[in-house]
Amino acid sequence: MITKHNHAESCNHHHHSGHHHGIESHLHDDVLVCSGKRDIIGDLETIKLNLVGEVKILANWIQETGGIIGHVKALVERDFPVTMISTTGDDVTIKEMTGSTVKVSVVAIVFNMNAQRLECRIASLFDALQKQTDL
Amino acid sequence: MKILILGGFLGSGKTSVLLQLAEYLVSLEKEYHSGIKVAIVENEIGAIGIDDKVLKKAGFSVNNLFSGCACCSLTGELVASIKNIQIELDPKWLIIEATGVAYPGSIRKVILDELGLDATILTIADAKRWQRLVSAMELLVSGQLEDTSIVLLNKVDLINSAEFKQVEQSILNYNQTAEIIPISAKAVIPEAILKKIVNQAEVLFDNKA
Ligand SMILES: Nc1nc2c(ncn2[C@@H]2O[C@H](COP(=O)(O)OP(=O)(O)OP(=O)(O)O)[C@@H](O)[C@H]2O)c(=O)[nH]1
Ligand SMILES: [Mg+2]
Repeated sequence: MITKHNHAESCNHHHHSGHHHGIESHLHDDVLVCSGKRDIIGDLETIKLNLVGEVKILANWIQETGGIIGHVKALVERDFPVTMISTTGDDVTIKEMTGSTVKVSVVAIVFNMNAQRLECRIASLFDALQKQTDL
Repeated sequence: MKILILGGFLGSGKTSVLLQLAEYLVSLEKEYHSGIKVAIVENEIGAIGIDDKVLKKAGFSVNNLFSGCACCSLTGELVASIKNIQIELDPKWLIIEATGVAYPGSIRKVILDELGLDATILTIADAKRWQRLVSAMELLVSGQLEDTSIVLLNKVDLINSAEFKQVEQSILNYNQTAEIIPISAKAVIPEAILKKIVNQAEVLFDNKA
């Protein structure tokens, strides 16, 4: 149950720096916000399509484990082409990378859920996404 | 600077409404002196902003405030951000999207107390999930209805007329005076509705002036 509270008096934050690289969660009262970002190498359209499926699976999982979904959002951004500019002191080299990198962000705002479990689940969403893209 | 606060539960459709409302306001204010007619403050929970990117891509000037929780935003950061926008951008309109767990009434109060600026609240309710949310977190969703004269009942495309009546009745139980306007923000919101929202804000502003 969310209760109205006076912020000046209490702020029971727990910042959880999990063992999953790049995934962070934040708990306030019983609102859990879990966010992660990962670069997926592959075709944009394929990644978008797979992500729709993965978000659906994540949503089902949250509900099956007794959580209440506030909002699950994902953002897909393409970094393409990527240019690297470097030097060791003499000339400056410019290297163009043509393979497309897709930055995928996922934010899940959930009630009634253990932070670590959700972090794990989101980490496996990213793993699955990369795996499907590699196929 | 006229201020509008968009409130409502997580995923109720605040950003979807904001996109259309901001566009409408820009089209109204063609004559306004400042290049920035509408500025937006996004308050997001968590570490990654998504709504701000969506709104920026749509061409709007967006300030993002991160807060772990709704109420953390009600401190200096929000006030400083509004002050800054007023001085640097001087927009005709400022739209604040609250987090989905915030009480828009509290945000309005902070702005009024700290800056002496009044704001119009617009609360968006998720018609599809309303009954479920009321049973799971009544205090929050009903609290979000306080202090608003218009409730946009969104996602009516997902419910039938009997369900609509139920939700409407439930909302009226918490706020007897609000006007409930059914919308479907994923489609085009009729101009008459956007106009009504804007008028509401104008009335408040004119009364102050
Ligand atoms: N079916 C339907 N879906 C809608 C409608 N309006 C919005 N949505 C969907 O509802 C979800 C949430 O919409 P947003 O506009 O992001 O909601 P929000 O209130 O800004 O969400 P938070 O900022 O995360 O609290 C998205 O998936 C939208 O596409 C509508 O009228 N009908
Ligand atoms: Mg939003």
